[in-house]
Amino acid sequence: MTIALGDKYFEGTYKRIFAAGDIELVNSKIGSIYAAGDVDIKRSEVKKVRAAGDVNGEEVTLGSAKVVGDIELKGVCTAKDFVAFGDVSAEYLECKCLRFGFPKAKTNNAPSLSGFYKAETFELVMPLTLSCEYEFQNIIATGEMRAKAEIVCTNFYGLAKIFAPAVNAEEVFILTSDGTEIGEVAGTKVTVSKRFEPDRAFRKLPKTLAVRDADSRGAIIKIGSIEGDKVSVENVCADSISGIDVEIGDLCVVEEVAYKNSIRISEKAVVGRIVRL
Amino acid sequence: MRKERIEGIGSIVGGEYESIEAEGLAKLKGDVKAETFTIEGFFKSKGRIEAKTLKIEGVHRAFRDIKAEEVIIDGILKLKRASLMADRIKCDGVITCTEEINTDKFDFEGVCSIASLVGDQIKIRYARSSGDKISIDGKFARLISSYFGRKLDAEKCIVDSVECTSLTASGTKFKTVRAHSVQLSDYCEVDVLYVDGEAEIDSTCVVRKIIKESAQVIVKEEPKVASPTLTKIMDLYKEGKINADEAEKMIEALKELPKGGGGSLGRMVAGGLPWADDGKLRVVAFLGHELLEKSAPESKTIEVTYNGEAVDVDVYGSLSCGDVEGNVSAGGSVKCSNVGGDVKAGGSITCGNIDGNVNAGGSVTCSEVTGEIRAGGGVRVGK
Repeated sequence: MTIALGDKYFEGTYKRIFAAGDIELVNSKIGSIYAAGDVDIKRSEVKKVRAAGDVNGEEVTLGSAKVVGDIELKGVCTAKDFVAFGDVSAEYLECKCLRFGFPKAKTNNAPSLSGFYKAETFELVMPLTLSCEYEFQNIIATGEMRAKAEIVCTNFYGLAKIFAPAVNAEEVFILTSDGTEIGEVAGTKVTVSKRFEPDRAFRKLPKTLAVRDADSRGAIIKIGSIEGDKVSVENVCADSISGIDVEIGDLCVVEEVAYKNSIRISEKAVVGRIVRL
Repeated sequence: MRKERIEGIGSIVGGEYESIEAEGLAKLKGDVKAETFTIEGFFKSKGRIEAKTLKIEGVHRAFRDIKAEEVIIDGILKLKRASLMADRIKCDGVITCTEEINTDKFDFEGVCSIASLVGDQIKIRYARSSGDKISIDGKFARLISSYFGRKLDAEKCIVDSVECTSLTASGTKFKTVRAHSVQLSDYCEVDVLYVDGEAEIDSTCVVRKIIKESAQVIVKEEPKVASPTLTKIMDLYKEGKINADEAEKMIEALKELPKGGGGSLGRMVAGGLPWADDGKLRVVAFLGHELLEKSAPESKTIEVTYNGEAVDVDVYGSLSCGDVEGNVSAGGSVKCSNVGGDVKAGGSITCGNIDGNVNAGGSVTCSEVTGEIRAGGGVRVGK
């Protein structure tokens, strides 16, 4: 165990570093770092990072990282679980789980993600405008998500306010959170519901936070068009919905519904035109 | 047809009855239809009520909609998240309603607090004696308001919105009144009055805004009502399939549907800005209709000049500023007077005294620095 007070420079192998002050690590292999102050890491491998302060990295391999402060990563960086609370800029960051924000933590500024990120699961806990380049398999948004371009992934779970021109995923679940507005939603299975109960598939997704049942208090959300093989919606106002099997639930207002195999419309829904494909 | 009579404590599951008489403490658990429904004592309904005549001579707390031909109230009717639809309503007591009361004839004397009242002939007379019955004065006022789900006033009846053919009211506070003919007396208060016929208002009343509706305005509204989707929503409401709250939400959602292919400034603002309403001064830039963010390359090329003292400054581009009480962070260069905290800049820093650390991508020129200096270029400290 190494304790560093004030500014320190490290190079080599260390099991554990406790630092109060700025530290710099070059060509090192470290078990864990607990730092209050800025951390600069270059060409190093760190299994565990807990830092309160800015982190600058260059070609680093991290295990589990939790950082409160601005992060700047250069070159190819990898991590197992990466949790950030602050502005993050990365040239290339690849990790299993990338989480942005801490539950219940609040900030007056709107932190941003910039650069390129690749992750199996991206968990969004705090409000974010998604404007970076990314390759996410799963997106779980429990914080407000805004996007300027189409959101693309395999599994999308929007459990808070979503504001995007389009969402495209194999499986899409959108909780009817007040203020949600999406231009287009396309997927194999599209579900829009006022209640979220984690199913088996969701529970199996790699993630750093447990997500429990959620309720939207019955808001009606706006979606331009929904397209999917299996579409099940409630509390939605949409121009058009089309799918193979379509279920229009309570409090839906839809201009046109197109279906191929089956359709179910609640008596508490308003549908303008029904077309069989 | 069955007859149901509860004396003491009991509950009704639901169903169809010829008559229901509830005396004492009773509860309705499901939807019920009855020719006559009489309540004496305390009654709580968790199911919809459909009756020809509904008579309340005690306290009725309704959590589901009520539909009746005639409603006679000589006690208290509390409608929480529920509406009342009736041909005629005669009340000598207290009514509170968080949703809508829809009736042809409303003859009321007592104390009321109603969110929305729609009808043909509406008469409201405030009676102080009814207010005394439920002690709405003093420290229990908040508790009473919380119990009824709406604020109750000991001095006046409260009706948020009224839409009717003829309105006669005394001692009532309105937010909006839309009526053909209006007769107001005894300290009535109206925020906005829309009237297209006769209006008789005595000198004790206060009407903040009167809008005389012309025939043209009425014609303008017609196409809105004729919208087929809107008509269908109203039909669902009339059939009792959805309640007033749900109908309002559905109509509200119809207003503007998002289209695919990018967010507009209007929608960006309508959907809420990506920061809290914290009173901080923000100078923002747009590229077309898009709000520029910190990560955008265009942000770095913007220079902000601020005249005056500042607390903390965070600029995406370059900054020119006077004294800063706290920290300064800029993507580009910084030119300012004295800084009370740290200064961090992507470019060069030119300042007076800095009471903190300095981190610059370029050169640093300043009078005095109390903290440490990190600079990508040259450093010059001193006067």
